[in-house]
Amino acid sequence: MSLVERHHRAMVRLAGAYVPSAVAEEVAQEAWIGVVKGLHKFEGRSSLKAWIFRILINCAQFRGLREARAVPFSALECDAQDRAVPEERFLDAEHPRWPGHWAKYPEPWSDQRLISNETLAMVANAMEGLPLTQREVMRLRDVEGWTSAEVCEALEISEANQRVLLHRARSKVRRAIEPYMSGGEAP
Amino acid sequence: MSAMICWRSSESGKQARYGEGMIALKFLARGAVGPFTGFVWPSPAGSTAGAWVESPPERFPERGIHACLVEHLPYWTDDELWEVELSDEKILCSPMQIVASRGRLVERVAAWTPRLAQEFGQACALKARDRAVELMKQGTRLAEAEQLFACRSIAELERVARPMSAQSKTDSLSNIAGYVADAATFARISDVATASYIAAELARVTSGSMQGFLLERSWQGRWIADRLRLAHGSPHVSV
Amino acid sequence: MSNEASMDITCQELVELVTDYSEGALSHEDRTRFEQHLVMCGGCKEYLREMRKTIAISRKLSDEDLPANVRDDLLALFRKWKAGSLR
Repeated sequence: MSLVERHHRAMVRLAGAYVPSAVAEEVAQEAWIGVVKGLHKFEGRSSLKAWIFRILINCAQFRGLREARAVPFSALECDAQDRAVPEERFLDAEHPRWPGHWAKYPEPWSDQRLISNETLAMVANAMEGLPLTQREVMRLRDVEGWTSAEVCEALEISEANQRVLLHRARSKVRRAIEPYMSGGEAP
Repeated sequence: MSAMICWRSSESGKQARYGEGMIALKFLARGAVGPFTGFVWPSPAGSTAGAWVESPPERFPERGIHACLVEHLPYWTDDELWEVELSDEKILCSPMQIVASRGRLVERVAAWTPRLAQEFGQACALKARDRAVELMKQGTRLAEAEQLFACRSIAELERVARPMSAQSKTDSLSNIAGYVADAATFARISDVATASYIAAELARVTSGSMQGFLLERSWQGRWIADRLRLAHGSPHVSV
Repeated sequence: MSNEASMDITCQELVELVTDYSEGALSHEDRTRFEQHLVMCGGCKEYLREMRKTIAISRKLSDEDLPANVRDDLLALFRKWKAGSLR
């Protein structure tokens, strides 16, 4: 049963992307009821994990409709703040030889800080600040260790869409910890 | 840039000394480490080749065994050069590399030393300098041509070329001096991959076409082959 | 001095391609161009290392590492449920 409990926590977190966290636990419980009820329909065509999370998302979306019409994963956000690295870190288009190349190479990261709790907390904090869709894709892929196929299946997004969300999420987290990792003070 | 299947090892006249496959070359980072993947290659022990490394078929050519023919060498310079045996029905050939699904390290190419790598970087920077000198003469900037030509070391070349490049952002000869200064900078710190790339870029810019870039890379490939005595009658055949 | 464009990608382009690169989504030609840039750019080599480190750190945020056989175990559990033995 501990395995189910383990999934349960991930489900509560994912539900939190759609509904207020106060009701996320409830939504996850609803999803488990749906899973048990729907078991006879599960034919092993998708992975079980993806199937369970699909049911969770259906429940969460249904719940979430009353609060907000916006459906996550429907569109890609796109603006200047989504750049992986700020423009000013690169030589401008007028540079005679190396436009678009690093004005100054990124500083190497401290190995010691790589394993510090402060760094972990900083990454967790940076992920919390991500837009929901980006955060969930990064959480499932990088924290939970899902494959891209599993994430696409569970969240019903295309591979390309998933890659864009993952890229923006990872880039922003790297950006957030960069000053500290390359020798700056902890915030 | 298109790649194609172009070579069947079993039909080659050049068989490997160690087994069934074809012998090619591979640059690795220090410690026989794949420069992009961080993969640590099993090293040969004495006269026994390293263990075979196989790529998953569904990830070919992305996760294939990437290797060089002689003419590919200047594109991938790194700390260590290895002979690698590729065993395959088919090998993917593209303009800058070949890719097989199986390979193993056979022997370190001892002649590729840090010293030789450094000399290679310097040769590339000096070739860029010679190109700049010619163009400055044609542009009747004789004093600058003379100054560049008189440089006796890479560090001096860098010191002389750098201020010339700062004269004007729009003047093409100043810009050419900039390439020379950049190539000298990277040659001085033994970043030979960058120095050789910059020299080829200068050739592209001054010739106005990619052909210039490719010709410069060919020259660099011959430089390496000559120094490693890989040129003729070696098992490292061009296709 | 007419100018045929370089084959090289810029650093600014590379930092937006790292995920496609590590996900294996680039064509063979684009992958080669990506790696050609890495060979000659210490800045981008460092950037790629940093992205990989970022991923490695975030992996540690997992409550516990899910064993690889989680799915199989769960599947077995569900088969039991299906068979009614857990009701």
